[in-house]
Formats: sequence, C-alpha cells, structure tokens
Amino acid sequence: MKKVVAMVLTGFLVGSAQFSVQASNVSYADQIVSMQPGVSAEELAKQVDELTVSTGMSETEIYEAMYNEMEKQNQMAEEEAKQLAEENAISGDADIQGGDSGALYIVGPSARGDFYYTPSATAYINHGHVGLYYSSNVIVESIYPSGVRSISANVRKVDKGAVVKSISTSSTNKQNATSWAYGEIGQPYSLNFANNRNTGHGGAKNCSKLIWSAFKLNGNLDLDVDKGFGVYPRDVRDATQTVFKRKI
Amino acid sequence: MKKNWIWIGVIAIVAIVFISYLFLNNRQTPAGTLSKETVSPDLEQKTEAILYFSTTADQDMNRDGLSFAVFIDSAGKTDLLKMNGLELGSVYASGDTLFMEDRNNIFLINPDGMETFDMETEEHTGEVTGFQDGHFYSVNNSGFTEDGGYQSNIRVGNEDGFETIHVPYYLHMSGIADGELFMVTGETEDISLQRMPLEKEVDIEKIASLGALGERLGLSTIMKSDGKFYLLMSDTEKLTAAIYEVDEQTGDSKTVPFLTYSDADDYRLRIPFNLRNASAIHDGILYYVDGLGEVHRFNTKTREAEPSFQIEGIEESSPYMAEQTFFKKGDLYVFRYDAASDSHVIDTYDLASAKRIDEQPVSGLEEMYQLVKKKGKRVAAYDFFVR
Repeated sequence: MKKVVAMVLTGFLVGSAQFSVQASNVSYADQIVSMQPGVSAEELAKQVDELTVSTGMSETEIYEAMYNEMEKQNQMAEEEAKQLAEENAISGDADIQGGDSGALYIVGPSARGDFYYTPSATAYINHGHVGLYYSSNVIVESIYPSGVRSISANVRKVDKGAVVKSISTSSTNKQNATSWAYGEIGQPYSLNFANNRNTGHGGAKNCSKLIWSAFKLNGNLDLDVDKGFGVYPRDVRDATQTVFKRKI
Repeated sequence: MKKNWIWIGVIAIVAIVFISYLFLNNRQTPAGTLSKETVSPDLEQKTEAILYFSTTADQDMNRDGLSFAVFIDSAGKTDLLKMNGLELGSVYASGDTLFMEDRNNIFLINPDGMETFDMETEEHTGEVTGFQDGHFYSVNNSGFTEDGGYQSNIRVGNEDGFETIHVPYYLHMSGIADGELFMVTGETEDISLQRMPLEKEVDIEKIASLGALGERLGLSTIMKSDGKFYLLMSDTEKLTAAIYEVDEQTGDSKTVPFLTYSDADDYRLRIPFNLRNASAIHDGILYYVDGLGEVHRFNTKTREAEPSFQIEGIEESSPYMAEQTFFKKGDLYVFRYDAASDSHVIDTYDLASAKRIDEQPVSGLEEMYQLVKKKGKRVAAYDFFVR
C-alpha cells in the first residue's frame, strides 16, 4: 500500500518539477506568440531582427520589452476591472441584472475626430478597444476578424467604464485623419499589437494602429503614451494630446 | 495486495470524475442550454416571444464571443439557446418556424426539432430580418469587397438551405415591408432611398434622393404605409429629429419636424433600445419609443405630432438595462428589468389608450448571465420578437 502511495506521490512531484522547469525555459518570444496567436514566431523573429538594426538593442532586450508591454496591459486590465467593480459596488450596479455581465451602453454621437475607449473583455492580452468618430454619428474602427468597418454611433454598444476623448489638434488635422481612416474601410485586421508602431501604415491594422496612424500621417501626432514597440488602445487613450470628454 | 487494488480503484474514480468535470466545463452546450438533442418538439409551439443577446464584435477577438436566443413561454418561463456572437443580430418567427443566427450559423426550430446551417460567409453586424415567399431574409451590414468597398450581405433560405447574396452598399437605414427591402444608401454627399424585391436576384431601384447625409442619422427602420415611406432621422448638430415622408410613386418628399432634444446628453439617453423595433405605424398613427421609454405619436394624415405617454419602470438614472420593445398590431410590448423586484418583465401597452394591459414576469435569465460572467464577457440585448 505504502509503495503505491509513494509511487503516485513521486510521479506527481516529478511531473510538477518537470512542468516547472519547462515553464521557466519558455522564452519571451514564445510567450509573446502565445499571447498574440495570430502572429507566427517566424514573422515576429523577422520584425525583431529588423528592430535590432534600427534600435541598436539586442534581440533579448527587444523581446523582453515587448513582453513587458503586454504584461503591463494585463495588469492595467486587472486594475481597471477592480476599479469598475468598486464603482459598481458603490452604485449598486453590481447586484442587478447579472451584475457586471449584464450591461452594455450605446456610445452615442461625439465630434468628428474624437475617439472612444472601451474596456472590452478579451483573452490573451486584455488590451481594450478604441474607435474613431469619422463624423459625429459614424464610427470607424478595426474589428477582428472583419477588419476596418464603419458603424452608427446610435447602435454601437460599449462596456461600462468606457470613455470618449477628443484630440488636441487642428480641425484640418482631424478632418484629414478621419478621412484617411474612413478610406481604410475594408482593410483586414492585424493581430500584431506587440510591434504595430513599426509596421507600415497601409494594409492590415488593429484598432489602436488605425487611430495612431491616422493622426501620425495627418498632423504628425504620436498618440502613444509610452512610445513602446506596441501601440495599444490604452496607449492611445492615455496619450498626452487627448482630452477627456465623458465617461459611460 | 487487495488493499492496493482498492487504492488503485479510488485513484481511477477520482481521475474519471476530474476528467468528466473538465469535459463538462468545456463542452459546447453548457448545462441548462438547448442543443439539437434537447430541443423539445413543443418548444416552437409554446414560444410566445424570443429575445436575442450577444457580445459586441470587439469581444469576439479570440473567436469566443457568444450570444443567446431566449425563448419565452406564456408563463414567462425561458429556454436558452447558446450560439456564437453576432453584434446587432436578430431573431424572427414565421408560421411554425423560429429563426436565429450567429456570426457563422443559422438555426431554425420547428415542430420537427432544430436544424443548424453553417454559413460560409461570416457576418459581424446585423441589420434587419424578414420573411417572404417561404424564405427568411436576414440583412447584415458587414461585408467588404476585395477592393475595399462595402457590401451588405443577405442570408436567404429556409429548411432546405441558406445562401448569401450581396447588395453593393453600406446601409445607413433599412426596412422590410410588402416583400421588399428598403434602404438608405450612398456616399455622404448624396444619400438616397432605394428598394429591391426580396428575391435571390438583386434588382435595386432608386426611389428618391435625400441630399447630403450631413449630421443626420436613422432613429428607426424605414416604414411604409398607404403608398408613402416614413423615415425618422435625427440631426445631431441641430439636436432635432424629423420625419421624412416620401411618396412611393413620385419620389416627392416632405420633411416634418418631430422631436427636439434639450442637449447632447438628452439626445444620447433617448437613442432607442433597438432601432429595428423603435417605431411602427398603426391605424394611420406612427408610434416611436425613445431610449427613456417615452412613446411619441405622429398622425400621418394630419402630419401633426400628438401627445405621448411614458412607459413605466424605465428611469433616466439607469436606462439600457437590456430594455427591448416590439410593436404588434395595436400593442407595444416592453421587455425591461424591474429594479423593485430584481427581475425581468414583459409589459403590454394598448397604444390607442396608452394603458398598460398586462405585466408578465420572466424567469431564468440569471442562468444566462452566469454563463456570460463565467466567460468574462458582457452581453447586450439586441432584438425582441413577439409572435
């Protein structure tokens, strides 16, 4: 009897130890690929190789920086969820109609060139989502898997805690940036957040890249608060050139 | 030796229980929701109303968005069908068949059970659904052409199968009546009202030009009555809403002022719960219900706005708690969350008298919210259909 128990325990401990060793050997590159599964290891390696030339950083440093940026997004998501839960508890919303699983709100109109950020529950990296007001009533945004689309502000629903912000720049820049973004409708979605600052403005793009490129090309605004390798929705939301308008 | 076998047996049982738990936790059809095998033959017959809830498109990033059709019987008891997500998706019923859809499937439920149809073309933005000549037509505003242009996709079919046909436009507004699809389409410089018969062959005809889009925006579906089209559009710059009356034969249009908003917040709060079901014409009166539950009337004969009434239980402080409306003949059905009883109800109002004539509690939605919560998602009510 003791032998059987000892064998089971030994097997369990050996298995756990092996798992632990394997986990510690998982490279930053592998973790990045697992956190944004739409981008292959080869594709990522090629981009990092190019970045070693343009930045002077080593491959390991680049991978580590990308990974840390992703992890920061997950941490921010946790903080955001905690803050929302506290707000819901105070308002009493946590206890009604399914609590935090039961409410989405129409984002509604805003001025041309404004944008909205919504917490958006996503797995892998919880990075939220942003969409740009092409006009006061029409939102242009990049959504997986269909890509860049337009949708009426009268029907677009967002999470509680979403914010609408404006961008401090000229109306000409706003007009040109929104027109450029609208012209991108139909472009496919890109899952590459880790290095989307350094990919081309044309072609496939994700939600934050769409807005970042629109104002980078039209007004030379860099709507990326931390200037890391990736422009995430929260980077656009927190960019210094943005001004809070309202919270949902 | 005998004890060893007992221990091995215990470990095996524990392993089987653990594996079963993992399997049940991850299977496609969660406990308490319907599947092809568990749809009862009388589900179609006992279903009085259907609600549709879905995650938004941005929650489908990892292909794990989800939606629910909620079948409600006359006692307010519910059955849940879990599907993939489809933002703005719709539900419909015609004859003895219930129609549901998600981003890549169509589901039909009739007395023979449930049939599922895989759709090759995925949709991500629902628009409007109807039934004509034995076929369901579900219009989706979510397609693109290879050169980056827009196209809207219409899923057409019945129990014999479904296919997708294409309309080469983004739809600013749409509506289905008298076997035709009506739509407001065009570039922002010049939008127009167009029509096409609900047939597999796409044949589009322009009815009237509506000028530059400007800051106008549809507040409901396109309605048709007595040879005239009625389009309810807001102007978010002027903070007003007007009714555009278009003659079917001549294309002549008249604009009649309808609503005024006090400010941008007032406008935003009054955006309807579901544009598809926000208005209807009955006995020459156009009824429109806004996002604060105020019912507005417009007499199509005299072109005068008439006194309105207020739906009870919808408060300015907490709108958008899954409210949905549906007009049927002379009644308005309102699905809402009742904070006082912490439950959901369907109220029925008689439009002519503006009186609430029925209040039906609805049970069983908590199960859906728990499934959603478990997935770390949020769902919105997107459609409501009363048979």
